[in-house]
Amino acid sequence: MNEHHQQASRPLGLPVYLLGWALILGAPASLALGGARALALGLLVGGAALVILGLGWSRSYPLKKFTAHTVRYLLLTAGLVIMVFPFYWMISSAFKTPGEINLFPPTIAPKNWLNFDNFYIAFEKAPFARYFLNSIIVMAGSVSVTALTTILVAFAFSRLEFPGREVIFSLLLSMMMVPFEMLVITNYQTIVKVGLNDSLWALVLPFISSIFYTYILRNFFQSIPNGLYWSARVDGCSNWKYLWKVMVPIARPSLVTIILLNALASWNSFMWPLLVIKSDLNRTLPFGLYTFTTEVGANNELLMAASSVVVLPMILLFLFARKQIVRGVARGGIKG
Amino acid sequence: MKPAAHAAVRRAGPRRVVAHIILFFLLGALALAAGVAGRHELAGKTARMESALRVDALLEGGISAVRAALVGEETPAALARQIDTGLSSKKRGLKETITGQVAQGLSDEQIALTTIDTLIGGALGRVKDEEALAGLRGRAENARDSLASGLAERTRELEEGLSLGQVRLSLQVTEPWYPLMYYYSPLLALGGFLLAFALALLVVYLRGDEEKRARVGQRLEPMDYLLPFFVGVALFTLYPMVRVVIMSFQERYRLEGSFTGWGLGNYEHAIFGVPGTTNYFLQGLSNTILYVLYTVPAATALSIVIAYLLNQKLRFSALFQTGYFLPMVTSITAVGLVWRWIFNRNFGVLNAILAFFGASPVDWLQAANNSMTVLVIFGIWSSLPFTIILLLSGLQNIDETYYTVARVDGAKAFRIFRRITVPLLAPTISLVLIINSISAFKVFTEVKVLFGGYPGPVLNMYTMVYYIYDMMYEHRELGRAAAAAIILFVFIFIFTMLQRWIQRRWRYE
Repeated sequence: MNEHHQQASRPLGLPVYLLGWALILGAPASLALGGARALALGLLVGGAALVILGLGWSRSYPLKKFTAHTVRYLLLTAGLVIMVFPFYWMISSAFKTPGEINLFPPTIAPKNWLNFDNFYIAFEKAPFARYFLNSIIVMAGSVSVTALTTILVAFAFSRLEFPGREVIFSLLLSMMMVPFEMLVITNYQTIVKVGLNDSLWALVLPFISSIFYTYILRNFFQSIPNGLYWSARVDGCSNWKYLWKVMVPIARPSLVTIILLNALASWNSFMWPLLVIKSDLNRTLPFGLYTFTTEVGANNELLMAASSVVVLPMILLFLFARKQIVRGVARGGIKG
Repeated sequence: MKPAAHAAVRRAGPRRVVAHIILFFLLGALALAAGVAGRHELAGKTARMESALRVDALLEGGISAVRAALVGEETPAALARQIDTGLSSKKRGLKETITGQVAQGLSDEQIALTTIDTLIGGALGRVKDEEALAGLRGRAENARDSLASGLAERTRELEEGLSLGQVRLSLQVTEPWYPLMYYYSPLLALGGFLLAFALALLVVYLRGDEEKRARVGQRLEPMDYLLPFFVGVALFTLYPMVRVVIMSFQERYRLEGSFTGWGLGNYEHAIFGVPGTTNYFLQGLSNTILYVLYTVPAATALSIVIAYLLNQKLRFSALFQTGYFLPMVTSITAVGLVWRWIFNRNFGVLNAILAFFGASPVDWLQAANNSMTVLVIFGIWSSLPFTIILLLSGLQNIDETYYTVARVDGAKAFRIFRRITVPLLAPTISLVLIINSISAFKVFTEVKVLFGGYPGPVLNMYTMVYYIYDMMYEHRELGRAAAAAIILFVFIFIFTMLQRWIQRRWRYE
């Protein structure tokens, strides 16, 4: 079916191709053995040229496929390294001693991976335990209240009948484009005037209702067949009971997505706490970490230890719930 | 299709009406009580400030009036000094007397009269020279009545300038019951509205029959589901939206709530600056636009390649996805600090890598001409995951048959990518470009964290949102912040309209 398969592969192609790979692999080896950088670069470029040349000569389909695969994995791995490297660097720096951290060029890994001193010192210098607790409280409060208001209003907009339902909903959707950065001005004033600034309430209250999460959940609720609803109603099931006994269990995947996105947003929020929180004991983790930078000065090992504490819970959450989070982001098309 | 009205459902209606009457009555009474208490407190404050103002006006005005009447240009210096000591000796005692009289509710005329008398007595009491004393006494006798009436007149004028609204804006936030005083009128309005609603429901309930009650109950039901959400939206989305537009036209509107007048002054000050001060809005605007132009296309182009590679059958795909998506879930603050450490001039790993390839170290964070590069690198890195996810889901939506047909026709991989993948992905790509532009327009945390709490090493990295934050938080010029926010919104609005248009076209295609 394909010309390339029938044609006999040219004898010289394969050796040239293999030689090319050998040169490419030889580049890092020559560096490790103390060769000049120019030599390594030459090996790399020459090897790549030979690989392409060999591929062209041999015209072998499996060889081509193999090369494509290898290049793909190489590219993806290189990208992966760039994406993950900052996290690795953060954690490895967190375990370095003050002497190690100020080496140039830096060492790839700390001498002792179990050196938790930096964490102890960071926790002593700033009340990170308190920041952590505050973050948890704010996250739990915001997630639970938002989930409740969202479930109720999404149900009303998908099942209950009232005048102006569609108009109100489309107005809500158009309000979604107003950036928080614009609302923040008045909200800041309101919180100050009501006397809630510098309290954890200020971090929860403005976020009790989210149009975006309502939009996601309403879409899901509407995909649940209507017949189910009417048959339950005829059987004497109240709306309230139907919502909690039927709708919510069915919509659990969507709910999980909403809750995860909300938890992430709450945990990572920075600008709002920066505005409304003053005293040390009311800071949440990102803001506490930010103020910690002025305290530690040049002690980057402490800073990296503290950063790890902020980042790790969300990494763990992501490892467990990657699919739900990714699905939510893909569906919503809004940055978390 | 209406469900058969079930007995239990029908019974629920009237009960719901009763519950709403009670709830709205209680809430309305509470709001009304709070509003009344706030107004009462504010009126008390106003009265206290008024009487303090009166006491001051009477005392100071009296002293200067009496002095002007007794001491002329021809008065010898020694005599003038004696009169002055006489006047100030009475000052403390007189203040208490006036305060007491004001509290008793005496009129301005009465108080002015006794004040002038006491002051004249005090002034003359210290004059030693008998001859001068006699002359002064005569002058004081003549001037007494006109002095008193003049004083009363001036005091009344001062009082009239003091209103509830002025006192409301001059209060300190830390005062007890401040929110009730500041928001007394909306509280009164809310309380009145809720009570009226409860009353209307009560009338309907008492007048109507069982059928009517059930119907009303049913119509009330959606409200229960909507209310918690809409309370939040009204307070923290709808009100701020409207308020910020109004605020942008209130010139020099400050956090306390005071402003100097209506007009376009905020926009003028935001764009052209206040004369004599450095203004960073235009710098912020150009930085923001540059940031959008640098990061968004680059991140999208990289993401297309990565998403394309990730979309094929792949071993360890969970590993790759986790790695590529990780920056999305982690705090920009924490990760920004890590990048700050990577960019460190002396010990940073990036300079180490550069040194490995023989390049000299670069001062990434402190040199002004590298600031944008640093921000863009960080911006691309942190926006990749989101972009990849959207493009990946776009790729997964492309029908597999296109590829099969192309492969059967013997098309090469690159040709397939260019002729099938890219065109079919075009709607997603444009969507991604727009969403990323919108979020890049709002860049703030990245700058704040990367440059150690300042907009760049030499204040060269203001962005639109940084400017808004600066105006709002550091300068308390909320009006100017609002004007800048409206200008930011115009940009975002344009991009959102583009997004809507693309989505609509895509859906109907």
